[in-house]
Amino acid sequence: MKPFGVLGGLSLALLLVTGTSLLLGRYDLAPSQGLHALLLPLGLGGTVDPALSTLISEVRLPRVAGALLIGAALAISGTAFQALFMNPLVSPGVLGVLSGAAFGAALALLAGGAWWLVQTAAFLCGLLAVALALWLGRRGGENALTLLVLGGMISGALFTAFLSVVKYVADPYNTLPAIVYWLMGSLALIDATALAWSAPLMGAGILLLAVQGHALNVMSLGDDEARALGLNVKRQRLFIILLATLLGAMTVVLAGMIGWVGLVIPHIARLLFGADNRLLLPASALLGALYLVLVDDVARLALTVEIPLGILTALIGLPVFAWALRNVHRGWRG
Amino acid sequence: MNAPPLIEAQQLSAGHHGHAVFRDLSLRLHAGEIVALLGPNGCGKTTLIRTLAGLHAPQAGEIRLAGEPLARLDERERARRIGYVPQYHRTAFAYPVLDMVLMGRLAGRGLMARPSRADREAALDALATVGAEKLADRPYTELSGGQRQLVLIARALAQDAPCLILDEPANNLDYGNQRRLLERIRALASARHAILMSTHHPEHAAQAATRAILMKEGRLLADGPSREVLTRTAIALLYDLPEPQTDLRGVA
Repeated sequence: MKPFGVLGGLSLALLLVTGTSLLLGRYDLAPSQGLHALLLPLGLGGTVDPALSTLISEVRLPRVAGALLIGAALAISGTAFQALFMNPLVSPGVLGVLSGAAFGAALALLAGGAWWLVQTAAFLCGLLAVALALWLGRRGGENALTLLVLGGMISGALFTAFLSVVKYVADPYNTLPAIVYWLMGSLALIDATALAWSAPLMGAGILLLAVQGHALNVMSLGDDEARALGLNVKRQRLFIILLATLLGAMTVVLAGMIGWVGLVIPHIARLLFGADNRLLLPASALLGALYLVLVDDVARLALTVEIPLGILTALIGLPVFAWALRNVHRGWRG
Repeated sequence: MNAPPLIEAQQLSAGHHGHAVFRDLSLRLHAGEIVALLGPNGCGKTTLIRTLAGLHAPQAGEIRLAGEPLARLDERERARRIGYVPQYHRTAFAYPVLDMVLMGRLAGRGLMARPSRADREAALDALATVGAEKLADRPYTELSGGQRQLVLIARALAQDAPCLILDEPANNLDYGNQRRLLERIRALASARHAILMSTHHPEHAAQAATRAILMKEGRLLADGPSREVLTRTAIALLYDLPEPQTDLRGVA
């Protein structure tokens, strides 16, 4: 398959699905209405009900854009980590970022903090957990990658234990449900202000990570060879870990814990598009975006009450994953 | 020769965790030479090779490449001076051979640039030099051991570095492939390159190298033209064999 064909096709599909998703909801809109409503804030809209415009630009657009960004971020972060560690079991949480962020958010909820405090705490504790993992796994030598994964396991387990403590002491009638609901993950949590500052950051992170394919290809040959070919492996690895970590932390900040996207989508992308990271990274970002926008449509529309997204990504993602597992070795041998 | 040696190690010591595998070792490699490094398992060959290739930091002493201290070069600058050929290996991913060889052009063009036409030509030239031009479109994972080793040598050649360091290039190959590979290595001799290869087999040194270095327990036993160094007495001493050593008759 030609790389540009793959990426072009995925982009087109994403555009169509995103556009359609904006029209779907409790009040379905016609495509023309949707277009006018989107253009109205820019001063270009024709005749459209301002309420519709508000619905689109302040309710649906943040949500769909959030789904798109979070799906892309989780998928590309997972793909980058899998390529970096050369391990198919690895997901964005491998270095503890998700556990750290979950603890941070729960702690802020326990303290009765404002929403921005919850987000900040989630972000900072996510970074803290990864810093701990890097510190624990710092002296690897030839086993640098194995040691890093072990460092991540320890850090993740530690922050999960901290999270349990927070849950244990939380008020079971008020705070605990808030924490549990938050941990299930939902795009309903996304607000336009949070999205406004995080979207450019995440977009930049996704783009930067998408062009690390060549470096990851060279690094897949092993540290010695990559260094002999002129790559500063340590610096490059740290840079990629940093990008993938930031993206992972941002998804938790925006929508809580959305599981499985970062494990399932990289595998399916590898199965569909092969192991060349130069294509795989951008393709998995697009596929992840597509997937999460679609799953969020199901979460919003399937029942009259919204289904928590984290549950759906597991319920839909895992059977697909189980099916793909039969062929998973193919993607790893290329 | 007025030009400084392409590789010069002075009073070099290296090892792991404070323990020295070799100490105070000095050697020079000049352009035009193909040098074989021989020695029993555990003698320090691999550590020496990795240290000279800049992959392992020495504990003491200095390495100079054409007069420049190796320690002052960053990865890219080093890769433009030394091509390192590891033992052939399995890779996780089935890169086409041409892509594999193009990775040798990384140091020249940087990580983000797409390979230029010149890069492609250099890669194809390098493949032709080792006689593997027909493999360009094959997946690397489907090649035989001998073919893989040729591709890795081509990648180092595409790197366009004056020093080539090969880690037991003929290891794990069958007899015919060993002979063919060594022929190719001998044909690489040029006024521009200095080639250092480690090997387990005195016959390989005799076949491909102009000069042989015998290493035992972290010290150099002998260093000189292959024909003079590779005597039965020296080989017996090197590998702790009883003399006379008859296996080498007609080869060394």
